[in-house]
Amino acid sequence: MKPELITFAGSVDGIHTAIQAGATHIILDDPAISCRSYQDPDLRRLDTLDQLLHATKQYPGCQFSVNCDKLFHTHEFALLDQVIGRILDSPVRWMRVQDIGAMAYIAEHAPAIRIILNTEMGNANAQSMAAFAQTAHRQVLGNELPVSAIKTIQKSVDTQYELMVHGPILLQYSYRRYLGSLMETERVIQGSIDDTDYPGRHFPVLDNPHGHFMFFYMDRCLLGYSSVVLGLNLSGWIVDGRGQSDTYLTTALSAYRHCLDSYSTGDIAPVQAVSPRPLKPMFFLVNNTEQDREPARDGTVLGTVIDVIKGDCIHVSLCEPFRGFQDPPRLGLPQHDRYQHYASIPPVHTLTGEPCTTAEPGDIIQLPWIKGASPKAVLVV
Amino acid sequence: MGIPELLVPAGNLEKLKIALTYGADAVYVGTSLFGLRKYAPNFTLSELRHGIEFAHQRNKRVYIVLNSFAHTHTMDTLPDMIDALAALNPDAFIISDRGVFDLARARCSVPLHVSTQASVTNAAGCAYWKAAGAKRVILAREVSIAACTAILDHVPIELEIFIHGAMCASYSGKCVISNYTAARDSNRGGCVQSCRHRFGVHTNTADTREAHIMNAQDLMGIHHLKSIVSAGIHSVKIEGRMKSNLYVAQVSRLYRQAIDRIVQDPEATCNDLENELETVSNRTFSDGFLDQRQTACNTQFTQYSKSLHFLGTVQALDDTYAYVHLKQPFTTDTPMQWITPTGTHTAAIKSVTNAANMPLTAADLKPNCLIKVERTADIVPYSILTQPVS
Repeated sequence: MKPELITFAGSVDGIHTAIQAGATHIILDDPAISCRSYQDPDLRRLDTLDQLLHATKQYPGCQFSVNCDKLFHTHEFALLDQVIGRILDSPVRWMRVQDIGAMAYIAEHAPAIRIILNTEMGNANAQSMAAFAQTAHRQVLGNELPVSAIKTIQKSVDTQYELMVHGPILLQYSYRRYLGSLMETERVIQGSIDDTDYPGRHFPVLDNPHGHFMFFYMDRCLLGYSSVVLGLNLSGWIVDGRGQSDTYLTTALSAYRHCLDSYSTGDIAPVQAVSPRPLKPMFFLVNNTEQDREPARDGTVLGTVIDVIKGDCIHVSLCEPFRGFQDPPRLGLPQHDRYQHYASIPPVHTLTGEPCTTAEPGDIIQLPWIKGASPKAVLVV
Repeated sequence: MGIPELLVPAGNLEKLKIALTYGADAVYVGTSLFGLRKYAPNFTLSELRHGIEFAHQRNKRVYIVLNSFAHTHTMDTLPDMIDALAALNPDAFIISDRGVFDLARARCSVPLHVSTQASVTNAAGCAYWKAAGAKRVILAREVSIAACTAILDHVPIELEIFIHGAMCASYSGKCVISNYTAARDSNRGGCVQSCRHRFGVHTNTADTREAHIMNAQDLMGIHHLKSIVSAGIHSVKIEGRMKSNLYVAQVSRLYRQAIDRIVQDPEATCNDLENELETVSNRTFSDGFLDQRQTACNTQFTQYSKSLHFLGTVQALDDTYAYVHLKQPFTTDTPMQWITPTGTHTAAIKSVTNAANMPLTAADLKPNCLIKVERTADIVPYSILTQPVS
């Protein structure tokens, strides 16, 4: 089955524009409950949602869901109840949440509503997705998952998946209002920030009553890999154009529409031409952010040198029990693979000078000094 | 009135012993895998075993942190690790990932605490995790004490909140800045704290300016203890597994005093303890979200503030001498003080030698060396040597 082409709309005109550009699933975006909305929210009213839900009746062939992705605090559940009530009175049956509590609450109080879980960050392994699939009907795959990981997850968890194929990359969701601290009169503030240590990288930021949101200085774009994405048999491709120009959104939607209809790889050039930021696949191809920085070492680290008295002795703080040496130990700095070897099994004393045959983690032992011994070197056996 | 547990960070075995010696009821510790402090020394299994025995001998508790968000390919190593850690008989695992949580629950009977990384902000979230088998939820730092009361009205579960220490700029767990800017995974122990940097700010409505725009000041909630105790919050947690021995000693000692003082007399004040907490390196303090949503931020951070230098820690004692592992040089012509579990004491150090009894001059005193100083009655193992910032 062909994936839905999904995007956000915060107005009736926005729904029309998105559908005209090829979207088949519209995420209804009321600023009161949609945390990353660029519209000024009235947190007590759901007027926008009412208008949007009403408008859905004009598009019977289109799928709709309601975005409700803020992290809810306990006192805000009355608002969530109102949202649930509005949805149940409408033909719409899909709801998007980020908050695990909101997910469980909706499942318990409104089982007719189908839940799409988008945790944005963190839900990154098959076991986690399997657990959430017991409650959520669909899950949005994280932007940090490479295609290899997505395939592995899909093999073991049979549920519906969506993937963001295009749009700004969210880096941060804060409950504070950082720009609001600087400009107290503004309700919704857009701008960019650049790290003075790394100038020239302009990170878009959004500050609204829900909090502060920072985005990457490049946008995600999988047009060049759309044949790979097609092979994943996803339920939906998300094009996120929130806060961007109509041209950005419609050009991207049209390009992905073409990919879906022609089963071909898309042309990135026209989309790049209307994007204010470079377009990259980011972690979709590979994610090497968890490199093991511990050096490989044969042997067991017995402890770390904390004191060197040149020509006399060294003191080692133990991280493993000491039960005597079977062979001469060696000393080395963790980041280098060079060791100084004791020529023979050295005598060992306690810190206060008594002979030592056993010691426990946390104890300090004294060994004879050898050339090359330095603080923070590790004692390896 | 329940007495909240005082839960203190222990980045290594020495800090574990310091925390428990200075008044913590429990410590949380990490290994090099599946924690969020990949670049801290962390614990070996042997150190954990020893640390847990040390704690249990004193009727105290050790919680092991496994709170990174795992990716599928790294889950393969987790079953063996959980088995090995569970065999050490820890008092809980702290977990944020639902997959890791389910795996731990299936393999052992160690109680499970839901990490603040899971961003639980409401009663329904607590109910969800309780139904999944959680004994305790560590709430997001964005939840107020009043909201804790509301949660406990709905869900009978142990709640833990942060009371002191550095704070994430974001909802913890809702940040991948380091992933994209430094190729290190924020939620798998690689956070480089880019949010602490100074940023140029450009908007349509204001002139460009530079500020530490995401400067989440440090949290200090000592004067909210009365409300915390009244709310029935089970545990108060202090942040800082990478902080110094001095920090661990001070927060353990001072919050111990504060809790005991408030439990004995809810109207008691803790201004004196607050002043002492400010002596340790900090980014200036705020109430965070304990009272209400924090709206304003101090975006003009200049430098860390402190009034005490951490010089070293007593590693061992004999009849005459204390052996101090030195972390910072000092001169004996400036007053020094010992911080011990019972308070602060003037340090009258007349002479210093190395462990081989050779006299040391000021020029010989370098970081990472052991020194011997005369022992006085006040000094006990893990006493901390300090010197005022001049």
